[in-house]
Amino acid sequence: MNPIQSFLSRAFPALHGGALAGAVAGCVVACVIAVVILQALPGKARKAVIAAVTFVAGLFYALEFFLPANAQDENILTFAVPTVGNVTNVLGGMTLGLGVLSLIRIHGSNVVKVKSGWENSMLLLVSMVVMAVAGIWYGQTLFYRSLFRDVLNSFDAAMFAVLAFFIVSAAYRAFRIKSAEATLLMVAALVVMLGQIPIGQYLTHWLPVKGSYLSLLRLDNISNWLLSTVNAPAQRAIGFGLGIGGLAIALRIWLSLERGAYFEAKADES
Amino acid sequence: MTHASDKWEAAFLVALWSIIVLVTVITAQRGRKYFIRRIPGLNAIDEAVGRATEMGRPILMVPGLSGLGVVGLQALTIFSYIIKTAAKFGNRIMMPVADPALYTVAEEVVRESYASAGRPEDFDPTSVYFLSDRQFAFASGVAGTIHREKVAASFLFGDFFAESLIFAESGQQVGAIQVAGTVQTTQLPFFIASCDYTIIGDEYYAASAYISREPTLLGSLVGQDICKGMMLLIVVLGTLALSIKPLGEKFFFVQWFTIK
Repeated sequence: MNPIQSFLSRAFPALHGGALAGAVAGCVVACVIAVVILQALPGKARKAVIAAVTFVAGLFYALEFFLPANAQDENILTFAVPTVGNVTNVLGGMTLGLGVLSLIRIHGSNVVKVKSGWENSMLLLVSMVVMAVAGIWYGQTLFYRSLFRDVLNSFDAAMFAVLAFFIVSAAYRAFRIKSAEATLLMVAALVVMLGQIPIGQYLTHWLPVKGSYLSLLRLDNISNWLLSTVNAPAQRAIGFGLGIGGLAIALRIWLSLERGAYFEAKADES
Repeated sequence: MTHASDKWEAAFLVALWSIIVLVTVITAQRGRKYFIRRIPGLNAIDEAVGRATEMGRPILMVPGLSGLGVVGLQALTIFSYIIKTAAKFGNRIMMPVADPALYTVAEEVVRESYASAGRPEDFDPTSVYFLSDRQFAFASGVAGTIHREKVAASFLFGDFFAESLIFAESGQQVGAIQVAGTVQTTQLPFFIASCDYTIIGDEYYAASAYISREPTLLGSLVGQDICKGMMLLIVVLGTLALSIKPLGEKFFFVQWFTIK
């Protein structure tokens, strides 16, 4: 146990029973007070607080990455990573409640005002309640499994299946020969598709697999060449750009240099 | 866990690039002017909003399955600009969200965008709504919205996966002008096939700089380009080293960047 870990263990010993409930209640009250104070602060002060919290949170992960690790691939901060992850999960869990409230607000209003399509809104609200009841109180029963596996998963699969038709229509549009680029795209796609399927491979199966220049003309070899020598570098190049772009925007958010949308508006408040 | 000590060379590059980006940001903030090339997909935003105004139909903005991270926040920055433009013309907007954490921020962004456009009274709280955090439930909800509302313009920015084509093809079917951008390279071909304009690769992260012309963001963008140039140089040197027989895989430069 490293010094930080032992200090935290002494400062926050494991609690049970009433003490644990009291600590949880205390944390909830502290969070509510923190939110109220944050709301009451003027815009610039609030931005400073948010910037400080963001910086500390980012610094934790930056230090955890840059500090040297031992043979067990751990450093002085690694032990806290799951706990910090749990904090993020708790925040995410709280926002899920806000999402559900949004659904109830919009669809409840549709039902109460008998707007067009109110029956669908009613069905959604009833389904939400039934699913929640089934999940919370009948989690291991056939009732819940049937709702989840037979109904929800089937709907998911049906929606996924729609993709097959959309791929055809999108491919038709993409492969229409309107220009030199579109022609090149269509020929490349045709070769790759033929190279992946048995009938396509059969067309050039009489050519040697390797050891001769003729093997370069086999459809499966051309297909592999297109995928690994033409397509993969392009994908990697895009990946490099995205990685560096992600690094830059993460730096801007971490150091509160970001501008536009939420960030700028908060800074401008007085 | 991944640590810098697993691969010091890579960690050094991360640190170096971070410093480069920060230096260019600071020089831009001190008044140095930087040029940014034209990005057609972002220029098309005004065209799409104008079309929606003429048609009197709503504008749809979808952040995909993005959570509250850099991708989602970047999507909201782009949407904020779209909303400000739409607010001037009184367009109706719709923003279904799949991630509850992003939903809370998105609602704030939309409200503040209307306020900064001088039309706070036009903000409709029901225009931003949480649909579902399940991929295909969200997809069916968005596709339904596109068909019911016959949206005039559709902006797809954020993290998209298999549902991307469902959104893009639904938009095609109702004749919407579509602008899309994602960091998921596997979804780019679908957007290119179905959308009018697609923002590719790190253009996605350049969007906020392009739209706002804010010196901080322009400086960051130039820093990114310098880093990309360095990356290109590393690739060229590595290719040359591997191609020259006496150097080959054992050459120290190649060894630095070999994943073990």
